[in-house]
Amino acid sequence: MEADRKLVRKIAALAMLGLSGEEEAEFARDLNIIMGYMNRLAETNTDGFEPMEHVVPLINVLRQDIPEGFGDRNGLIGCAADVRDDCYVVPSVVDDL
Amino acid sequence: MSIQDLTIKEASELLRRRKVSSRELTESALDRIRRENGRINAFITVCDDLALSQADAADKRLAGGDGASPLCGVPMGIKDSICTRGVRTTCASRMLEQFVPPYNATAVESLLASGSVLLGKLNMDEFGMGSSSEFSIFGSVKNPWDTGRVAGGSSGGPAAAVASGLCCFALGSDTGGSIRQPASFCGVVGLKPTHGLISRYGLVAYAPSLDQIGPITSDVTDCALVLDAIAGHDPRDPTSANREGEDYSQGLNRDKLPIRVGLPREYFGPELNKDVKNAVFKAVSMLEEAGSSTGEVSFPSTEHAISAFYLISSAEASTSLGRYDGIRFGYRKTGAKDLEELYQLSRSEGFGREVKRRILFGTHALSAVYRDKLYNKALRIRRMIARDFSEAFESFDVIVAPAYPETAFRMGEKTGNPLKMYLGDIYNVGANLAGLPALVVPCGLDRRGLPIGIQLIGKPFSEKLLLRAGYAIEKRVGRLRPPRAGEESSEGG
Amino acid sequence: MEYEVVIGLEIHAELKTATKMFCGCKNEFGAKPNTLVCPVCLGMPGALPVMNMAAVEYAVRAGLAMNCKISSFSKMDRKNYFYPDLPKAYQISQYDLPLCTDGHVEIDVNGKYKRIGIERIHLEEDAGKLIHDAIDHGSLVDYNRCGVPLIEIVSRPDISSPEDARIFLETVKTILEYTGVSDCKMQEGSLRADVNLSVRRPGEPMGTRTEMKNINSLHAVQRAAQAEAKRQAAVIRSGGRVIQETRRWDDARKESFPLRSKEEAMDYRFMPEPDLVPLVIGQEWLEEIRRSIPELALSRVKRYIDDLGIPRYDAHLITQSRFLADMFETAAAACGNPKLVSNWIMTDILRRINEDKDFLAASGLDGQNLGRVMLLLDKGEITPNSAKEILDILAREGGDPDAITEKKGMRVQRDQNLIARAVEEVIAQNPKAAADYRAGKEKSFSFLMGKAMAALKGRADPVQVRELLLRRLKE
Repeated sequence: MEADRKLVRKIAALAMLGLSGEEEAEFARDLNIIMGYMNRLAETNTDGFEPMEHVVPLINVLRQDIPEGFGDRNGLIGCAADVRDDCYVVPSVVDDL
Repeated sequence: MSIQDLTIKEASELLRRRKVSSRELTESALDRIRRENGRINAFITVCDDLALSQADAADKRLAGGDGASPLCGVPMGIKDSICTRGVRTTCASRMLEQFVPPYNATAVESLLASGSVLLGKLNMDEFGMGSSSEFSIFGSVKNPWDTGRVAGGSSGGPAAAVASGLCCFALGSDTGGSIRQPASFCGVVGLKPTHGLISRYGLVAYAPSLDQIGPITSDVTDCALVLDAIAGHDPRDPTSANREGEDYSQGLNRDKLPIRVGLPREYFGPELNKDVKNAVFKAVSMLEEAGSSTGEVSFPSTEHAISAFYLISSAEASTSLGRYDGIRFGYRKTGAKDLEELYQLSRSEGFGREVKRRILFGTHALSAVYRDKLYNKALRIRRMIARDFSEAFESFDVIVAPAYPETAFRMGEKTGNPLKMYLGDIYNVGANLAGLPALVVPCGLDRRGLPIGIQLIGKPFSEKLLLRAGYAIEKRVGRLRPPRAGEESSEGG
Repeated sequence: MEYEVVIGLEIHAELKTATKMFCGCKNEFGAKPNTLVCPVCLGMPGALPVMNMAAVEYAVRAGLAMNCKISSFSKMDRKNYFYPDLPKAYQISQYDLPLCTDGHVEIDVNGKYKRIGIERIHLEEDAGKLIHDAIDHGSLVDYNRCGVPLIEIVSRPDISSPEDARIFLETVKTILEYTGVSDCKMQEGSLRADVNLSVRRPGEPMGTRTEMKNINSLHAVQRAAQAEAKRQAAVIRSGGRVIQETRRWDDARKESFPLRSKEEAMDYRFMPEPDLVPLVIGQEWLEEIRRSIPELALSRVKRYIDDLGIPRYDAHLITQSRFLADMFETAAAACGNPKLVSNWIMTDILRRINEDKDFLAASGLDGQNLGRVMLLLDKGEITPNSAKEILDILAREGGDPDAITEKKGMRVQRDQNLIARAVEEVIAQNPKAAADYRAGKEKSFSFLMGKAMAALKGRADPVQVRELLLRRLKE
């Protein structure tokens, strides 16, 4: 159980979700049950079946390199909770990339 | 004039003959929503003024003889996962509670262009994740047949609104049965089209390789009429099919329907409720009556369908929902002390529990250590499932399935047990995983008087054939209508 | 040096398309913040990316120019991580099936040709820009750059010195400019490099490598590599171990610093992009793209040296820009004396370019008229001073070199009698200088020569004038 909670904490950090202790316990339990159910997948032989990421048989759907602006800039920026000087605001970040 | 019993076709005829105006229809619908929505909770947002101005514009078009589309002047509702310009689009989530998109989904654009009137936005499970429309910050949708029961999900709002006559038709979206199961629970018609037939532009993504917009209507003819308006290529959606247009609403009624119908053995096992099974078999016999032949088929991969579906859909959701970070749109936690806190708190307070559960599960399935074992394995199973279907289509034109193992369940019955909720989608997820069209048509009532739907799954782009088969069943079953006790007393019969 | 250096570069180049990679927003530098944005590049709910065909073609062009195999089948993937400059919380990139693989670039290290392997070139989108010092307690985000198409060029660890690293980057930059794939403005960030470096004793296996990110000048790459090699060697020499980490190079302080290392290694959770369908580059399309690639710089350098007798240094300078190299070739063909043309480019034209980097683009000077000026000079029809003057006029207002020569009366005076008369007059008017010369004062000759040339308005052949003047003075 503690192992499951540790795993949930690790995944939550990757997914940027801050969880309460109660949520952590609940999700650890659920993950355990769901993974238990899905264990059967591992036993299934899928040799000869390539991963299928798309159901549409399309290739090369491309657009011409022609500018097309979006008219309603205010409508876009208006969706944000915090905007200053036409820029989106975030807490100070140290540029570490 | 009440729109409660009007199909699109009927409304359209009245509009063209000037027996009724779009404004009258719209006012009547708005009035009905005011009275009934409290009981059903189908609408999240009602846009009275916008609807009335659209109705007036439609009346002008109709008066000018420019009523080309049968949808002109007909009031509709749109699931709240589909973007509407200037009308808030919440996905039933705190995350998007205040989100007003400055753009329309392409499907909405098409409907507005044909003159349909937007009454408002419809309730659902948050971000489409659920099978009961109970996971909504705006409260559960109630089933019009029995308000103690769920309307199904995630498109519970659209199904309940059409069933209770709050709008003439609605658009839903379907990732793993989200149109078909609520249509079945509410006794209406729902179509999940072939992946790529309808543009996904403006549909808030849950799992892009599975998501598809589709109509929810009172009958098969209406379903075809809406499909006529929204199907087609869209350069803004690279997965949209570029093919010749079809006229779905013409020639639905066939005297003879000599098609081959396949019944998958695995879909009629012990988990299937008897009443549902009997109703579906009865509907199959109606198809036989119309000239079709029936045979059994086996889908051995069915046992893995739920696992594959939840792995793929959750994995896609975990990345598709990363964009909700509080910066450009959506819920933002104020006073966060640093960036990480802004992310973590905005996301954990903005998303509901089921959404978080799936994001976590999907993140896990994609993580470096588990990706091969979980996500990639699921993609291989997906190919297996798709092959099962394509092999079956060598011998059959249509595969028949129930839409759900049972009829509408009680409120709260499954919310505490996610796995139990997921397992119910067993007959639905195959069509999404393989990208196939699937139509649900009402085919009877169970012993409690709750509606049952039959599901018809076809080859890619065989919507027209499915609609014809659905029509043949509908012709014999007749339209199902929920009891309207509250309505009768208030209107005096 | 007791340690060998092993270097690999990852080079990010923004593509010079008119629009962004997945939407019709303009790909432009320097616009007002958040004016080049739309629902797609802001990652708004429901918006979908549509791939820019030019971006694909540019990437393939770069791959071909760097001798890569072009994948007949490739796809886009999502690379997931959270950062404010990345609106969707994933970057659309390529993970396991990049567009180009297994290429190489030849570099010229002072006449020694070396081959640097290219592991892969893949297509991805750029992120937005963070502005750090504009407000208190916060940073601002501008998404104009977000979604601009990029290629990432990953070299093999074939580079064996900091200088080679600089030359490699310079060579790649020139290739990208020649092919029109990128404008490579390093100061605007449209070309940037990460340096992966390790050291080892000769014959030993590879050492632990570090990575220095986003270095944005050619010389900074060399300096960073030098400093890092020195640092690593010092660590090992003092008995320590180099740790695998990402470092930030501070070019002003000539030092690198370790970046805050995350507790866990980044897990990008790569996933095939469900919104985009695969790319299939067929033979026909490939050939069409191949035809759009001009002769590259190093090939020209070799040709100029071997066939035209141009010095290596000059050949490199002239081929630094395709425009200049094309101009040289046109002028050399028109004039027939490539060395004369290259000498003039090395002195006169490069000086003008140094004074104004946009000189060539804005001037009326081109390969044709430069060649004709050089031809006049080569045939002795005009003097070098006149050539300069004509180039000035051409640069300012364009025109025809022969017509300018006639109009300005610049044609060299060859009339023996006229020159003789001028020389006699100069001697007559300056008897003291003439006497001084005859008395052995050499300096006076230059004075008289100057006077004679001035009398001829500088338009006589100096050799001829000198001869006549000497003869008269000795009489």
